[in-house]
Amino acid sequence: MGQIPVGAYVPPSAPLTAAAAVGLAVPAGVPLAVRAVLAAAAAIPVGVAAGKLDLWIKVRNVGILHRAENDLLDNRPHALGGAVVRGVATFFLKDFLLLLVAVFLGAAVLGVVLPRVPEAWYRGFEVAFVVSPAVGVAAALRTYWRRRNALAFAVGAAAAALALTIFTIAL
Amino acid sequence: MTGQLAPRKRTLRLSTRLEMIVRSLFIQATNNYERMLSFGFLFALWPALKFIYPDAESRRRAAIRHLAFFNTQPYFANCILGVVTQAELRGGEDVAGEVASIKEAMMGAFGALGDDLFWAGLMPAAALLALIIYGLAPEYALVGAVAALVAYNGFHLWARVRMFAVGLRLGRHITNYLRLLRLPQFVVTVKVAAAFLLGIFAAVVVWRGGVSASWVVGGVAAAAAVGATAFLQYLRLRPGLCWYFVVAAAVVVGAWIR
Repeated sequence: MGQIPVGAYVPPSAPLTAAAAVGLAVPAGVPLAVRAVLAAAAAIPVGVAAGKLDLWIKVRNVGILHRAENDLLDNRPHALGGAVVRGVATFFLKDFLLLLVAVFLGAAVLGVVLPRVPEAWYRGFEVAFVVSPAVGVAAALRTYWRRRNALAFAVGAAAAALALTIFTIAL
Repeated sequence: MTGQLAPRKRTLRLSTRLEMIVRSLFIQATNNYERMLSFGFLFALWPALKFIYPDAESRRRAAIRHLAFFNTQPYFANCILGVVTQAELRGGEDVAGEVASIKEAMMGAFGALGDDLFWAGLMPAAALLALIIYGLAPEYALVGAVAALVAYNGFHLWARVRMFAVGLRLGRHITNYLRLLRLPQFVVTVKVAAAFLLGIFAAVVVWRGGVSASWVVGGVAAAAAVGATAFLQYLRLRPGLCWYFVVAAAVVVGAWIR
């Protein structure tokens, strides 16, 4: 949340960040909260790197465009498909390779870091695990902050709080 | 030149239309800073150009003029693709000028509307749906992820096919149809729905805090995190950095109150 690409702004790649975080959080051995928080912390730079690579690829694609244009001028229209395949392959390789390197490298780093996390800090990571989504809520609130959206947010929160309270009491 | 001015006036076969829709999925494949989506647009239009201009030279000329700057929201591009295809099919003396004016008139409006509808409305709403399901029942996380993917991709794929078909059928008269759709109001509705889901998710976050720790730790910590993030964003700190600051603070405070 808060990473929504609107207009000319090029944000970090949120899907890639999420995929990297899931991959990094999988190795077992320590509590979920510790793994999840450290995995998310390690995954955010991956998303930022993917965003920067996107910029580079869009610059590089200008070359593909010019080559394809020349091919068209030279009556070689079949080159259109080749240019699109090259474009798709570039974006795929960017995401795939980056994710592959990030998960393996990140898993190796976390493999060293995780056993060294003092047990005394586990409680801290549990609290961080609980508040992490709240950071997303706050970031998204900023995006949606209009009067009618704020009203919808309040109604949704109140209705869910009421329903969850009744559910908890019923249990 | 004669070939360019006198294209065949026929309707496209179903296979050609399907090929165009499939090709339109690759409209961003060669997205670039010089002419943005122009090449992807031409790639999607190519089967229609092959049909309309059997003569290689007139087809080449038509293709070159479609490489002019073109940028819009990639899903809404299908609507423009349909309208432009219809103009090319209809032909006429100034088909090049008509096509250029159609693209210029529609790409800006659809760009703004599409960004708001899909990136800022539907995508966060789908993600929130998955998060709410995960928050309520972590064991059904996969169901949440699949539901979000189906909701988002199902809608945008349907919209792409539908908009191409309507654009192709109505041509320039599509503006009347779009007026009836009340798209700006629909965008507002989608964003209100996303805000409503965000409210539900906020309550679920606090509730999960109560389940996994205690209502005091969970609720107060979540509220403190929202306040801290809102403050850091007010200071114009990037969301990623906000996350690091707030989570680091939560780790320290959580370990300290142990």
